[in-house]
Amino acid sequence: MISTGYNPALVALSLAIAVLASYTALDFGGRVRDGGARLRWAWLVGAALAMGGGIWSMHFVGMLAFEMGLPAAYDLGRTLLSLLIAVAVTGAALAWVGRRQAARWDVLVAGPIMGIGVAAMHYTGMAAMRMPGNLAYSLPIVALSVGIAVLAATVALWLTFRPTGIWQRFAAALVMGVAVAGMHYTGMAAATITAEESGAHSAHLAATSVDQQNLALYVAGVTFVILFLAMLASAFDQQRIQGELRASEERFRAAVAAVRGVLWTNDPQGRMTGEQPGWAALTGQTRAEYQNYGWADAVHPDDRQPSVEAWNATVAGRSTFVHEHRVRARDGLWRHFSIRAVPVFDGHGAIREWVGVHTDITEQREAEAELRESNEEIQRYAYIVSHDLRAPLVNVMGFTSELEAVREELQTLLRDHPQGARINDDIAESLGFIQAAIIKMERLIAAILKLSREGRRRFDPEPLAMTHLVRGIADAQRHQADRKGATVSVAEELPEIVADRLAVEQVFGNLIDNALKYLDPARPGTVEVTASPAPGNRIRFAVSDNGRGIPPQDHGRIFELFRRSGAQDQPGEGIGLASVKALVRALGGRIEVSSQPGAGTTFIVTLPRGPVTDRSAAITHCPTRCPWPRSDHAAALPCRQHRDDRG
Amino acid sequence: MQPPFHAVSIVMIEDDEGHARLIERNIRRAGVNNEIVPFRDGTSALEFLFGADGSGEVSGRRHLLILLDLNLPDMTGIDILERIKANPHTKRSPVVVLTTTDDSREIQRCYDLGANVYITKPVNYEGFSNAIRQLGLFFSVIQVPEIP
Repeated sequence: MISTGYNPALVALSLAIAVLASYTALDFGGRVRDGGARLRWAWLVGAALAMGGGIWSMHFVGMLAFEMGLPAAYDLGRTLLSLLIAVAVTGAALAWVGRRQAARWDVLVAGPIMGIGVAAMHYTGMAAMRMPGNLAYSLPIVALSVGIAVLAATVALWLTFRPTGIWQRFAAALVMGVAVAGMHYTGMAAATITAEESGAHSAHLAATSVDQQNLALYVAGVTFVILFLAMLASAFDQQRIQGELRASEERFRAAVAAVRGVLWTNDPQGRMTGEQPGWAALTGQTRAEYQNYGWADAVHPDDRQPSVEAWNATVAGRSTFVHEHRVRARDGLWRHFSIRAVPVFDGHGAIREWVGVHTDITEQREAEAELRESNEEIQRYAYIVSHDLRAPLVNVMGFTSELEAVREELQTLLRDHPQGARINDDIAESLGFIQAAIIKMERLIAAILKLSREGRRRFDPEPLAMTHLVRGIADAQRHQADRKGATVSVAEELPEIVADRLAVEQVFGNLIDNALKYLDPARPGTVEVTASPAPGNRIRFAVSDNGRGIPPQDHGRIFELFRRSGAQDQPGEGIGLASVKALVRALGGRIEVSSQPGAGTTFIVTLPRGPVTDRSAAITHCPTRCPWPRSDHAAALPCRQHRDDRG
Repeated sequence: MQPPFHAVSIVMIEDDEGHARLIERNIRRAGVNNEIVPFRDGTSALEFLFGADGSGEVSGRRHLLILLDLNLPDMTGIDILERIKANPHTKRSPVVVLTTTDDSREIQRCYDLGANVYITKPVNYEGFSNAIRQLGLFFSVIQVPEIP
């Protein structure tokens, strides 16, 4: 039995190495999960080298701190093996826990592996010791040391992959370093060394001790340099990450600004807290003013209550907040905002905060209102023009007829005149052309008037059983179909829609009438009405025929007023499809045509299932510029303001 | 001419000279020879109907039948109709609205305001002259109250 002791300076050194190595490993380990695929492996290897190498070097220095009064040498092979074990085991454990899909309990697998590995490293290192004496181990203490190793490794791994601040990491490194050292010194306590030739080598003791101290210092020095370089690499990476973070944050702010957005955050309970520079800049509210639900004071009084209610419902439902309201800007003007807010979850599925963006849509809203107004204005023009064009027409027609009467009188008077018949014929021919032109003009004006009235009509949506409705239309046109030997078939299960009955009847009435009008006499005519669902809760109705078809160059033209396609062998003004198009648009739908000349035509009318609320609002809405005395009178009175130039 | 109608004046408020002439010709063709007082704008018509003071007393002893066009340069015929039917001195005078507009809501509104007859001027001259002639026949049988 040899009396043993420790060199306190080297013990302290070994402890310092353990702590520093732990810190480096923790720092690297934290980057394993955050880094990209290639960097990930680099950080993993780095962490394994720092931790494994650090533990090993702590262990080695600790061995050198051991004074047993015997000259000891180290077997290079086994010593290197112990280093390899340390690095490999640490690397394996870190890789296991550092997997992206790793669960939290994975440390309970990796921890024991690493602990046992560290113990293996320690005892391999002990076995590398060459000395004139015998080593014996106390089994319970060995077991204790392994237990400590497992515990320390598990804690270390757990700490490594937990997001922590710098001080927490520092404390963790301290605990871990002490635990690693504790394991080592417990392991040493398990060893009992018996000298073979007691005293024989005492003379060398001093010299050996100096060698040992130097070796310890070398190892420690090299370790420190390696760890220092590692920390340097880590610092550079930290800077890179922070640079990326700053760039990403700036990009994010720019993106929010680019959509004319105002960014704000709320706490998990949906209260506005903390600094809200965006909101403060928009509304001019101070932090005290907007705090909690104070922001609602900047919302338009009409929108306030609905906004708060919608927000509370969203917070309770943990869903995405989509809303619109008006906010009083710093300059005191109301601006329209579209709002979207989403909950930000932490790792455990709890809401960490709410992040929302107010997007300024004032201009969009104004443009929409302007468009609506100009649409209404165009309709008013159409109405006024068609009305006012009629008045002079009455004169032309009236006085032409008066002239006709005069012509008859003249004819009697000129009966005996040699030129009498010619004069009479000239007058009659001229009057005939004038009258024909007037009749045509009147028809055109009537068509414009009809269209403009359809656009202005107030729609009255009601549920429509489409099969029943379209069959009714087909029955009304049975006479026409029978005369042409054509059949109109309406699908059994046309879906129900909610829309204005008259408008829908006019649309399908016109389309079926057209189909029957332009059949191909070469084959028995068939007209089919079918329907299928379309995206956006719409129904796609198709009115198909096997008629004469429409050449491709006319597919756009046929929807224009007074334009017709193909041989002009059927009566009509060319207003049917223009009116259908206007009606379909007013119903919130769209109409398309596909046709092959000589094969048939299909008109596709896509209508919403439900009523178009904002559309009917647009029709009844009377803007401030409205020159009519009352909005309920809107369709009746032509606008006088535009007629100031008249005498 | 029947005696009761003899004193009745037809006030024609019509901005279109041609229309006015056609209306007059056809009324005459129906054998109606009453005085026709034409006005081409609302302002002068109102001045005639309600006097310079606007009270309407000036129409107190008149027997008037008013032919009214709705599209006037300075106001709508609706405004005139409203004032005629609101004034105690003129409210009993028959008002015939004669206009190009055949919009159902406008027709309704005119009757709501107290118009007695609403006639759309047909562009078709035959229809037009028929309508006016029948109106003339109607004038010859209509009783116009004396306004106190």
